[in-house]
Amino acid sequence: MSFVEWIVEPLRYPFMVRGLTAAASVGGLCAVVGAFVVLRGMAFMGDAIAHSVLPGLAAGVLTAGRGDRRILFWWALGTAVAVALGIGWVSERGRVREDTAIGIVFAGMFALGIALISTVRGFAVDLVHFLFGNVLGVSNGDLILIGAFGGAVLLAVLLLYKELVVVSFDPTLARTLRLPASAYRYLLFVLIAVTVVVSLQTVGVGLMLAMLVVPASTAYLLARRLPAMIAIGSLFGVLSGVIGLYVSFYASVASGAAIVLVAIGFFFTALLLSPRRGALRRFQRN
Amino acid sequence: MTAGRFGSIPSRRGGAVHIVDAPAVAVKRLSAMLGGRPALLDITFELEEGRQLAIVGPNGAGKTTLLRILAGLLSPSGGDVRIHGHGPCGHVCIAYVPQRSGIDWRFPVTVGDVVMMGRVQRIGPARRAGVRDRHVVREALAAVDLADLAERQIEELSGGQQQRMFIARALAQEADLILLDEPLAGLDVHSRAEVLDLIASLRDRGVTAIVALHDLGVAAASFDVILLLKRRMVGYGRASDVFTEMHLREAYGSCLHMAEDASGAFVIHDTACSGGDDVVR
Repeated sequence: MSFVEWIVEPLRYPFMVRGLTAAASVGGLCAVVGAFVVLRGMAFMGDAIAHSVLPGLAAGVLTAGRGDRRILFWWALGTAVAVALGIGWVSERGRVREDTAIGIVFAGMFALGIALISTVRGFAVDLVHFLFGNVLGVSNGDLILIGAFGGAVLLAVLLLYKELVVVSFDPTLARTLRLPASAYRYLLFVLIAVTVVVSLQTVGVGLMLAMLVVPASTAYLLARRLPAMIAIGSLFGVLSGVIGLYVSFYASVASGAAIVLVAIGFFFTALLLSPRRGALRRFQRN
Repeated sequence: MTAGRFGSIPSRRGGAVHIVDAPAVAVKRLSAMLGGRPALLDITFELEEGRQLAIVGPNGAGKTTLLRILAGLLSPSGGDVRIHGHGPCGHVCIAYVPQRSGIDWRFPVTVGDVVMMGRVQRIGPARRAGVRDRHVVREALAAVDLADLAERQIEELSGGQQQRMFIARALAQEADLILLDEPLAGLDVHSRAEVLDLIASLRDRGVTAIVALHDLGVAAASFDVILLLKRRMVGYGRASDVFTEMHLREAYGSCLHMAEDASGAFVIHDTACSGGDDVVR
């Protein structure tokens, strides 16, 4: 089989075209939001929001039945945004440390989700889909939702880029400039929540964190300015999505896992070869 | 000559209008609690526009707390703070230069990016930096002698250059009051001199400066007014009036070594062994 055939073959299947579109969009989107997650050290927060979606999904399954996936999206979105705001609120005035607060919310919501799903007959299948994603099951309607909400997130980042950078780099400056620093912080949490929900079907709850953190970290190793980091991160996000899905198609590997493994492969390559922070460069210097 | 700060029109987007004739800083019977314990008690002083004040005192004396209250980052538990006649929270003309240790130096931004951050509020949301913003940033970088390093990633700067970058950011913010928290900490002798010169040059711009310091000698040599702090105000005024043996013993207890050098000036070392660190939050 020639290379062109190898590339074109999966495109004969509409589910693969939809899957590739979803994986590429989600890969790019996650890297943009992920840049802020990485720079602010919010990886744990992102993971927590992803896992906290589970009880929302379970409630959706219980109320609407398994057939209507559109309802599940809205349940997930509502839960994720509520949890993001809740964690923000607790960590702002709480008596426990932020990571402790996140850990408690994370574990509690995840357990609640599993408990709810376990009451549904045949729950194992649903659970696997939620945990590991089902990018080949993406419908045209799902693509529209990804486009609409992903687009809204990108627009918000674009319009409020300066402010988000200041709040991330130097919150004290944000406050002396009398910017609504707290509002921007909550906005960032909500953007993460929306991104998580939009990406859920592609990589699932369990591997969501990887899409937020890995392409952005790869770019962090290569870029010296934030706009470049975001651009490079998106590129790696898109590439990971597309290449991962091809790997999944030909090697019959679970799609979410394949996408994440490709992203991790890029990361370690960058770690080794990065001109600025790479291991090879450090070796040369010594 | 008071070289006008970057153009004559002070475009104070949303900032409080300054009351003419009001002192730059007026603090009256200020007290503050931190974690349920008194951090500052009954502080009262006034500072005229363009003057330079050094706040000195042992660790835990409340220097950082006082700066943060003046910046409007922390609310006092009692008393009153006026900056140019208004409470600090209404002002966008107060620049706070944090301790260098609190900054993530690996953040992917250049020196120019950080200085431009001082203008974010003036530019406004959903807008890009305009011609005037870029001009102000260029001038601010030139004023601190960092124009050549504008494209450098901030991690690549020396400690002195990092401090100068933050002063440039304060200038780009068009600040009338600059608060610096231990700007000399961790700098070598050469960088300390550069940063001190730069702070002194703020006088020509009519900028008021308040600087928390550890080094009493530097405070005495380079600042108009000294505030000796140990939760309470031990002394306020010119160095010769403030740095009396009685005041110093009150502030530092036995942790202070004083010796008279050949010229008759006191050489003072703060061994900084009294109490906990300034609370940085």
